[in-house]
Amino acid sequence: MVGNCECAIIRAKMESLITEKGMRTEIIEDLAKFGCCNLCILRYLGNTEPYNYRKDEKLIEKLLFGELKKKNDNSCSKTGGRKMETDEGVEKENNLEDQDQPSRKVLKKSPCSVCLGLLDLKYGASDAVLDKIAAAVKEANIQAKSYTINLSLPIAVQFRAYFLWYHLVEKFSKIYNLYSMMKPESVCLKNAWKWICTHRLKDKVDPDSDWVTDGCLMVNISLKYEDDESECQTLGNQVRNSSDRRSKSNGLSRGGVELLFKDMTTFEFKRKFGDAPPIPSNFLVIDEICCTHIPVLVAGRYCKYSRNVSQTPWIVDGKRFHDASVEELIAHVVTPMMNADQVKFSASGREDVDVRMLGRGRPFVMEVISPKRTLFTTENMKELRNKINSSTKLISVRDIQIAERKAAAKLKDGEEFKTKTYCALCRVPEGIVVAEMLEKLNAMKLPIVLQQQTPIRVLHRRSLATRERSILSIKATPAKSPNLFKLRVQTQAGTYVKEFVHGDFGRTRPSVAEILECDADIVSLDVESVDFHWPPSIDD
Amino acid sequence: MENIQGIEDDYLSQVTASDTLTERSLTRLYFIEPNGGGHYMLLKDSNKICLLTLAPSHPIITNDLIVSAINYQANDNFNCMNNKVCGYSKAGAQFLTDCSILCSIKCEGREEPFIVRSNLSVKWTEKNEDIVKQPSLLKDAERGYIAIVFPELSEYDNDLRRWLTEEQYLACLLSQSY
Repeated sequence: MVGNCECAIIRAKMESLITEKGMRTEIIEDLAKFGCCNLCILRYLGNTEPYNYRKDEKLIEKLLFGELKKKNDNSCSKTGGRKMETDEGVEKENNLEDQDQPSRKVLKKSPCSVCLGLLDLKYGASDAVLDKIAAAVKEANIQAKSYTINLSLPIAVQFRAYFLWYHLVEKFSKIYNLYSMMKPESVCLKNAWKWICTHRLKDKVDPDSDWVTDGCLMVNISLKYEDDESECQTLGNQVRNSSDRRSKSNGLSRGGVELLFKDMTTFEFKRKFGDAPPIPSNFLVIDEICCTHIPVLVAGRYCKYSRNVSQTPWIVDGKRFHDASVEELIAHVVTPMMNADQVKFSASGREDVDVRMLGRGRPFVMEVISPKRTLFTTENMKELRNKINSSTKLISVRDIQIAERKAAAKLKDGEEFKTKTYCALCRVPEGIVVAEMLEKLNAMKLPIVLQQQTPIRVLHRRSLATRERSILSIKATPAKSPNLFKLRVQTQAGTYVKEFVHGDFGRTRPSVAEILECDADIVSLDVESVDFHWPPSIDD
Repeated sequence: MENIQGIEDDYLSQVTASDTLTERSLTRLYFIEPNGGGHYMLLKDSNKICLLTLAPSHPIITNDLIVSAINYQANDNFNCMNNKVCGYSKAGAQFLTDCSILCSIKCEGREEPFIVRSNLSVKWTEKNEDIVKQPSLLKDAERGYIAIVFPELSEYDNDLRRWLTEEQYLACLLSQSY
C-alpha cells in the first residue's frame, strides 16, 4: 500500500490541513461527542508525535480543549461570528453537563467508544496491565536480545473504527475524503498504545533491553472484549453474505472485514449498520499473553559414517525403517540445549541411506522453533559441536554456527549449482581384465554428458523426465579385489551416480556399463564432497 | 572420525561379496500364461515399481526367434501406452486391467505375433522406446524391458499372488506343468 514514510508525510499534512481550514475545534468537539477519549481525538486529528501521547492527561486536555476555551474567551476574532456562536453554545452545554453531573461521571465512566479504554491510563494502559505483561514476559524466561510487542484486538475495535471513520467522512468530507488510504484510523490504535506503553514496559522488564519493531522475542498480547460477539453480529451476517468462501468460527477475520469495507460508501454503511456503535459498557481486558522467540537457525556440515542411517527419520505407518537418522542425532542434542519445542532440519541435497557422507560434510540448517535459550558465543557453538560428536559414532558435525535467515536461504539456492564428488566401488564380472577397462574410463573426453531418464528407484516420487547431467571429471583406480575397481567422479548437482554406473536398464546413457560393454554394477557409494561455500568454514 | 575405512574395506566388512545395490532392491516374479502363451518376468523394485520383461523360458528366447517388430499400437483404435503423464503423481496416466494388451511382438518366420498382456492391474505404464527402434534389444536382459508398470496398489497383493516366485517358477519349469 502506501509506504510508511509517505504515510507519515500525509498524516502530518492532515493535522495541519485541519488547522489550516479552521476545523480543528469543530472536529475535536465532534470526536468528543462521538465518545472518543482524548488520545483517540489526537489520533483522529492525525497527530503522529509519540511524545504528545505520553504527555500528562491534563496537558493533553489543554492541548485539545485549552485552545477551545481560549477561542471562546475572545470570541469576536477573525472567524465568522455565527460560527463562533455555535461553538460557544456547544461548549457551554458541555460545561453545564460537567457541572451538573460530575459525580455520575466519576462513578460510571464509559470506556472510549473507539479504543474501548485501551489507551486509558486507568485501564488498558495502566501500570497494573503493564505489570501483568512484564510478569508474563519474565515468567516465560526466554533469553532475548530484543523485544517486539504484538497486539491482537477484537474485531469490535476494528468495526468501531469504521463507524467513526464513516462518520467523519460524512461530516468533514473536505478533510477525511482526502485520506481514504488511512481508513479506518488516522493513526493506528496499536501504535498509539505502543507509544504510550513500550518504554514503560521496557523499564519494568529490563531497562537495558531493546524494544523494536522487528525484535527476536515476540510478546503477543491478545485482548478480549465481552460484547465482541453481540456487537459484531450484524457484521458477521454481512461478511457471510458478501463472500462466504471461508467461514471460521464466527466467519469473521480482520482481512475479511477490511475487504468488506474497502469500497463501501458511507450511505451503504449507515444503511446497513446505523449511525453509531452502541455506547460501550465494558473495557478491553487482557485475554492472553504469549511469548515466543523467533526461530534460531543452527547451520553446519554433517558427515555420515553409517550405511544404515537415513538423513531424516523414515517412518511408514508407524514402522521405522532405520534405527537412527542424521536429523534426530543432531536434534537430540540441539533441542535440549536451546530448550526448544521442536526443530526442523533441512540440508543441501541428500544422500541415500546406504551412502556414506564423508570429507568436509554436507551443509545443513537446523531451524529451532521457539527456543528459550537463544544467546550463544562461538565457544558455546564449539561445545555444541563437541557434544553432538561425542554423542554418536554414526555421524559427526563441523562448522556449527548460528546463521541469519537470509544467509540460510542460500542453502536451497545452491542446490542447483553445486557439484559433488563421489567415490563408487564398482564390480565387473569375473575374468575381465580390469586394468584395460580403467584406461578406457580414464581416457573419456570430459565432460561426459548424460541423458538420465528418471531412475526406476525414485520413479514413484519423481516426475518422469529425461534430464541432461554432466560428469565433470572421472578417475578409475584398481581395488584390491580382482573384479572390483574404484571410480571417483565429480558430477553436476542432480546426477544419479548409481544409475550412471549400471545404466538403469538403459535409462541412463551413456553409463559405465555401456562404456565398458559389460555388466558393470555399483556395490558401494560414498559422497566425498559437497562443493558448497556456505556455511563459512570454522573448523580448519 | 580419524579412522574411516576406505570404501573397499568398508564394503568387504559389511556385506557378502555377491550383493550389489541393484540385486538388493529388485525382486523377481514370474508369470506363465496358460495354453502356450508367453512367459514373463517382473523385476519389482522396493518402491513397488516393476519392469516387465520376457522370462528366460519365453518361446522367443528358448527358440531363439529373431524379433522383427514391436508394436505398442496393438489395436487400431486404442494404444494403451500412449499417455502423457506429468508430475510425481503421474497425473493423466491410463488405468489398465490385468488383461489389457501392452504390445505385440512380431518374430521372423512366425505369422501370429505374441500378444503381451499386463497380467496385473496397472496404474500407469511407460513403454521402452529403445526396443521399438531396435527390436533385437528385446532379448537383452538389461535394456530389453517391455514396459515399466506401476501396479494399482489396491489390487497389488491380489494380483501378485498369481505371479510365481523364483522357486515356484523353477519348480514349474522342471515339472513342465504349464
